[in-house]
Amino acid sequence: MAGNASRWLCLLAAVLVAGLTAATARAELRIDITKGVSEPIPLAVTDMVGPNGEPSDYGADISRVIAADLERSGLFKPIDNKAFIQKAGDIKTLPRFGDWRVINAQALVQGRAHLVTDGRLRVEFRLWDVFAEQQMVGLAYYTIPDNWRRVAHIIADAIYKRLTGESGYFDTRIVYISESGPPNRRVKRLAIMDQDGANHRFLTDGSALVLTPRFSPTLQEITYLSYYGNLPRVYIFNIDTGRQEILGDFPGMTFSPRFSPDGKKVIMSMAKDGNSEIYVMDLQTRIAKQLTRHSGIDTSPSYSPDSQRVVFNSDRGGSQQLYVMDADGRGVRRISYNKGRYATPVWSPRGDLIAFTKILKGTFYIGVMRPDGSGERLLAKDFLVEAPTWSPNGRVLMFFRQGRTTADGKGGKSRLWTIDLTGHNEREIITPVDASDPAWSPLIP
Amino acid sequence: MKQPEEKPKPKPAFEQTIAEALKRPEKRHNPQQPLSDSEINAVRRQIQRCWNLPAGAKDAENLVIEVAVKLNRDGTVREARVVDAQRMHTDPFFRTAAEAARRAVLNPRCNPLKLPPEKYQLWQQMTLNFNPSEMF
Repeated sequence: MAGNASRWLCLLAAVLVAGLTAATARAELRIDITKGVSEPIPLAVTDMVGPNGEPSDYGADISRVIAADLERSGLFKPIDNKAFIQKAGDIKTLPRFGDWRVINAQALVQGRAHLVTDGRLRVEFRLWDVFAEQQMVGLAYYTIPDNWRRVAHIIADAIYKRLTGESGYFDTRIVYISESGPPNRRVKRLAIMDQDGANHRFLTDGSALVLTPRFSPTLQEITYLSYYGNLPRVYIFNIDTGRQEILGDFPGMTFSPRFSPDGKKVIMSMAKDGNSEIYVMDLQTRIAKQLTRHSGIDTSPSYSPDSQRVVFNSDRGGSQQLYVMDADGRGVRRISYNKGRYATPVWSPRGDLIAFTKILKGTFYIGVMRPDGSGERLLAKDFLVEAPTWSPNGRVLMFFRQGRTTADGKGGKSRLWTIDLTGHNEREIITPVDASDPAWSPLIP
Repeated sequence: MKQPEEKPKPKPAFEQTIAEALKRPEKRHNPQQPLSDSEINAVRRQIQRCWNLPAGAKDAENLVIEVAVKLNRDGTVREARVVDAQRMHTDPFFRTAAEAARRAVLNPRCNPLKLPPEKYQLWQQMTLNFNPSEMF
């Protein structure tokens, strides 16, 4: 009897569970979405207005710079203002989301910009998710009016970060080598500008040749190679003070310098007796340590963002290839194995990739590979493309491109370009004259 | 030569009753045909056109997003809710991916969903599982 009863209980439980499962299964229609598209997100950036909703000159300029930053990233497509149904609109009232949905704006940027009584510029913005009808971020800034472009870049970074999940790179600067004059008397000057080409100025007068500038992660300083007095040496230059200082007293020529991720060391090459090795110098103690010891040419070192490893360029295996070693110089291993020669490796700030220049059958390429050498992808190619530098978020590379010079001496212009990791969004950065060797700053603190 | 077929053991009467009882609730609550593969594929194609993944995002292939969707009878979306709401607050990469998935569902260019009105009972609620791993 007892056995029978428990059997019935079990069966009853089974029926109940089965009933529940059936009910859940009915409600739980599940559809897997496994493919999507990769398109710029359409968004509307309205002209920022004054405190009472009136037009604002600063506001219109700031909105224009924000929209241009976002557009150049290739991830966003600002919608032409002429298509707007609701014009600027003040941030005090909720946007008419329906009006923005109609023109397919998925995100909306509104704001205010006006001078306050103490003469400062106050800028406030809101970013809206048009479909979800929710505010995604809203911030306000005070600054001196001359700084309006920086505020625009900072806001563009905030929008980029909120919509992509990653830090932006718009509030940054570029140093590069500005080149002018005939090929046999080329004047090379160090120049600096905002990442969008604005606020351009020269840092050196061109009397001494300068090459390979690199930004310090602490921003105010650049390290580079200068042939001051015809002796190639690594220098450090303070952007704010204009002070230039030779780095270390090495017996041979020093070149291809680069800061460590904490900005406290500079890693570089030193050539002596026809051989070049990699050294690292502590900027406080000024003590240099030799990292490589090989009869091959070792050069172009670049730290991983965690400072644990260094990627560099060496011909020790017979041709120019990329190698990775531990930060103390041990454990050297080759990572590039495909056809061609490899040069100027740079570790991405987010650590996942190494960018390089590749030379194959007379053509130059800018490419990336994983730190173990796998997954090589070539992003740009030309007669000459060289010297990649990463945006601080590791999504975009800047490099210089030089066209072929024709028989009559025309062409051969050298210009700065950016390309994102997809390889599809290639843009020129406008410079006053020829440009080479760009270096991207970190986000301005 | 045919192998002699093994005779199925006769089931006790109460087991048969239970087996029928197990089938019954579904029959009672779900009198219509289930959604066909082509109907499900049509929804998939509609949503995929509006699912925009930010290019070059780090580790994007590992972010699987579930969106619980409530639909009106005309196929328009009444509600789209990211199931793991907690993670929206703690993981900015997840939040970005989740918001992109939600935009795909809410985008008026990709709904109303083309589903048979007579089967509304079956699709008035659904979970869309956005899994980008095949895209990388």
